[in-house]
Amino acid sequence: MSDRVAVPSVVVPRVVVPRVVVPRVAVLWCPHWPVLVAGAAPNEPVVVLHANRVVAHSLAAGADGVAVGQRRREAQARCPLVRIEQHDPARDARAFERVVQAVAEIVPRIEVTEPGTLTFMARGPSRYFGGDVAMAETVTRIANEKAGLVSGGAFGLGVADGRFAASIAARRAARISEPVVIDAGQQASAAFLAPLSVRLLTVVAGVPTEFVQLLGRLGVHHLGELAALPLLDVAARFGPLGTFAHRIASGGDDRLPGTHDPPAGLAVQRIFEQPVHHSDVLVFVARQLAEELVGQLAADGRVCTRLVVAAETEHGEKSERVWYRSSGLSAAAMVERVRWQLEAWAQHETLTAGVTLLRLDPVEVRSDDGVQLGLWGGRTQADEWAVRAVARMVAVAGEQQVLVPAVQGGRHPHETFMWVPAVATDLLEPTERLTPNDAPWPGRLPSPSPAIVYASPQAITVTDAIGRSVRVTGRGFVSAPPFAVESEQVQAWAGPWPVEERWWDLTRSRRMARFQVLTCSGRLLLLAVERGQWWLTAEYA
Amino acid sequence: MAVTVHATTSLAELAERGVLSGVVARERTLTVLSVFESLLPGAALQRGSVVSCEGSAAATLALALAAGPSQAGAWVAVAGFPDIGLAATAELGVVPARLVMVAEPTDGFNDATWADVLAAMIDGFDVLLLGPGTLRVRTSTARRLVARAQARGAVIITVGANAAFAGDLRLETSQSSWQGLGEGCGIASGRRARVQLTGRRVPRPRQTELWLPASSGQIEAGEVVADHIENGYVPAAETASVVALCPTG
Repeated sequence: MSDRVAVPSVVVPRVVVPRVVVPRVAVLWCPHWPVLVAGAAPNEPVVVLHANRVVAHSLAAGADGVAVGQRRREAQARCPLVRIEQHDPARDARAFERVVQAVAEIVPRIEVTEPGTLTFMARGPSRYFGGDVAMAETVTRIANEKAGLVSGGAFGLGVADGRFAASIAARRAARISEPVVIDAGQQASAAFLAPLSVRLLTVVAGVPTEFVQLLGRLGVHHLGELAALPLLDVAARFGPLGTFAHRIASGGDDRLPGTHDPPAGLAVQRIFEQPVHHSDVLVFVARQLAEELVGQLAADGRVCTRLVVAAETEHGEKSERVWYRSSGLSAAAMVERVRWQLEAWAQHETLTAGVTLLRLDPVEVRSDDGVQLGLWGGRTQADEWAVRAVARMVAVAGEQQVLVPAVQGGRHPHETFMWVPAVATDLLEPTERLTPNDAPWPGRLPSPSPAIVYASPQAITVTDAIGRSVRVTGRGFVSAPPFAVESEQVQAWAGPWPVEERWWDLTRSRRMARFQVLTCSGRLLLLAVERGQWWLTAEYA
Repeated sequence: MAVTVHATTSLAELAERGVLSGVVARERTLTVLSVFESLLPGAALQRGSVVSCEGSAAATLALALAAGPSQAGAWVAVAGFPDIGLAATAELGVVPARLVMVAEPTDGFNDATWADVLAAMIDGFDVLLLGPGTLRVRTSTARRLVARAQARGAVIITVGANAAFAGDLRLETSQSSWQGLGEGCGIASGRRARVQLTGRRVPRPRQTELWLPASSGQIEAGEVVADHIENGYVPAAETASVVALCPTG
C-alpha cells in the first residue's frame, strides 16, 4: 500500500458553453424625428399622423397630453392648437441622411434602423475618443448640430451591452439631454433594466402587446422579475418569444439565436454598361436584385436581417448603408430602403456621373420561421403570381399607375378607401393599410354605397319645376323640390343631408349638402351642392 | 413527402393543360357567390371565359361577380375603371387585400402599353375587371389577350358592353327599381333588378331576380320568377315586400 501510484495529471477540458458575446452597442435616437423634419418650432405643438394615428409628436404637444398611438381626434381634444402633419417616411429618411453622413465620418459601420435611429458598435470609436462618455458626447453634439438643433437638443445617445439596453439608455438620454452610458458587462445592463417596466419590450423591441399584457396578468411587471425567472421555465411556458424576451431582459443582445453571418458570395449586384441617371430605373433594378436575393435565401429557408446597400457612380462616388430589421427584410422592404438611400444620396451630394453599380449584400441572415406556401389561408401560389404580375405591371405602366386600396376613413364614398401605389406597400402584408380605423364618421351615408365614384366630380345643373336652379339655405331647407337633373326628369329624391367639415380650418373647411336623386331613366345619382354649385359625385350603377 | 409534392405538382400541371378534364373540372372554374350558382352554367365561372355585364346595374353586377372568386383567394385586377367605388366594392364582398388597379395617366396609355399591362394582369391574376377605359384597346390586341386569358385561365369581366372583348357570356340587367326613396324623404335601401344570361353556350336565356345590392350593400337573391317573368315589370309596391331569401357573405 505504501507504493503510491503516481496519478498522471490530467487536463480536464473545460466545458465550453456556446455563448454569444454581447456586443457593446451605441444607439443614437431622436424621439420625434418626423416632427423635426416637418419643421416644428421649439414650442410649437405638432403631431405626425399615419392612418389617423399619432406616430410622433413635439414636446409641446406631449406636454398637453398627446401620446403616440392616439387617434387624431383625441390628440386635437387634448391640444386644440396642434398642427397636423402627414407621415412621410421617405422625407424623414432623406433628412436623416445628413445626420448619418456626419456621424459616419467619425464612426464606421453605421446601421440605420429607421429614420431617427441609428446603431453602431461602440468599442472602436470609444477607444479612439478616449472612453464611452467622450465618444457619446462628441457624437451627440455632431448629430444635434447637423439636425440644426439648439444646444441640449433632441438626440439622445445610449451606450450599453446589448441593443435593447442601449436603445433604452438612448431614450433616457434624449429625455435628460445628456448621453447615458451603462457600465460594461451584461450584469450592469441587467441591473439597469431590472427596475423598468415590461412594457418597454413592446415599445423598444417590438414584442407583441398580448405577450406583455399576459406577463402583467401573471404578476411580472418589471424586466428584473422576468430576468429572475428560470430560463427553462420561461421557454417551456412561452416558447421562442419568451426566450427572446428573457434574454433581452437579462441584458443579452436582441440578435436572435439563429442569426449568423452568411457565407460570402450571397451578394447580388448589377453593373450598368450605360451609367444610369434616373432613380426609378435603379429602384426597378433593385427590385429585381431584391427578389433574386430573397429567393436565394428563401431556397435555404433563411431571411436577411441586415443588409448593406451600396451604389457607385462612374466617377467613383459611393454610397453605402447598413439597414437592419429584426423581423427580416422582405423584397419590398429592401426596395424601400434602397429608395430612401438613393434619394438621400442624390439630394445631399451633387453627383457628377450616372450610377454604374448597385449591390445588395446580406451581412446577417437567420432561419426563416415565418411564412410558407399555405394550403389553407396563409400565402398561396396565387399570391406569388399576383406579386410577380404587379412587379411587371409597375415596370410597364409606371409606379404611380399601379394602385392598391388603403383604408382612409371619411364621410364621403370616395373617402372610405384611398388608392396608394402598390410599390409603397407590402402586397402580402396588407394588415397595416387595411386595418379599419374605428372612427364613427357621423353623417356618413349608410350602405349600399355607390358602385361608381367619380374621381373628379362633374358640375351639373339641378332645376325646379319652373327651371330655376335649386338652392339649399344655410339652415338646410330646399328652395324647391328638384325637378330635373340636366335634361333628365327626377322620379324620386331624398335630402338634403348637410355636412359641415373642418369648420375650424379656414383653408380646408367645407359646407355642402348631399342628395340622392333617382331619374326617370332609373339612374340613381349622388349629388352634392356646395356654394350654389351642383356636383355629380357618385352613381349607384 | 417529396413524392407527394411531386405528385400534386404533376396533377396541377395536367389540370393546367386540361388533360384531367373530368376529374378536376372544378380546377378549371372559379367559385361564385351562391346567388349566381343557379344562373351560371356549371354554377361557376369557367376559367378563360369572358363575361360582359351590361345594363343599368352593370358595375354592381360585375363587382358582385368578382366577389366570389376574391373570397376564395383569387386576386382581382381592375383596368380602365378609375371611378370604381371602393366602399361598394368592399361591401359587395371583393377582398380589398387582393385588389389591384392600374390607373391610366392623364395622357392615357397607347395600345402597346395596354397590351403589356393586360398581358401581365392575365398572367398573374385570376379575375380581370375591365372598365370603359379599355374600350380604346384595338380589336386585334383584345383578341390576342382573350386567347392568352384562355390559355392562362383568367376570367375577364367587362363593365358595360365591350365589343373588342367579345363575351362568351352576357349578363344584362334590366328593369331595375330602387327602393326606399320618396319625394324628399327616405334613402335608397336596395335595388331589385332582373339579370338575364345569354351567350354562345347558353341555348336558352336564363333569368333571375336579384337585389343588386340589398340594403346591407351585398347582393342577395330575389324571389325565383324565372318562368313567369314574361309578365313584365313587377311594381315597386309588390317588390318592396319581398324578403331577401338568402343573404350571402
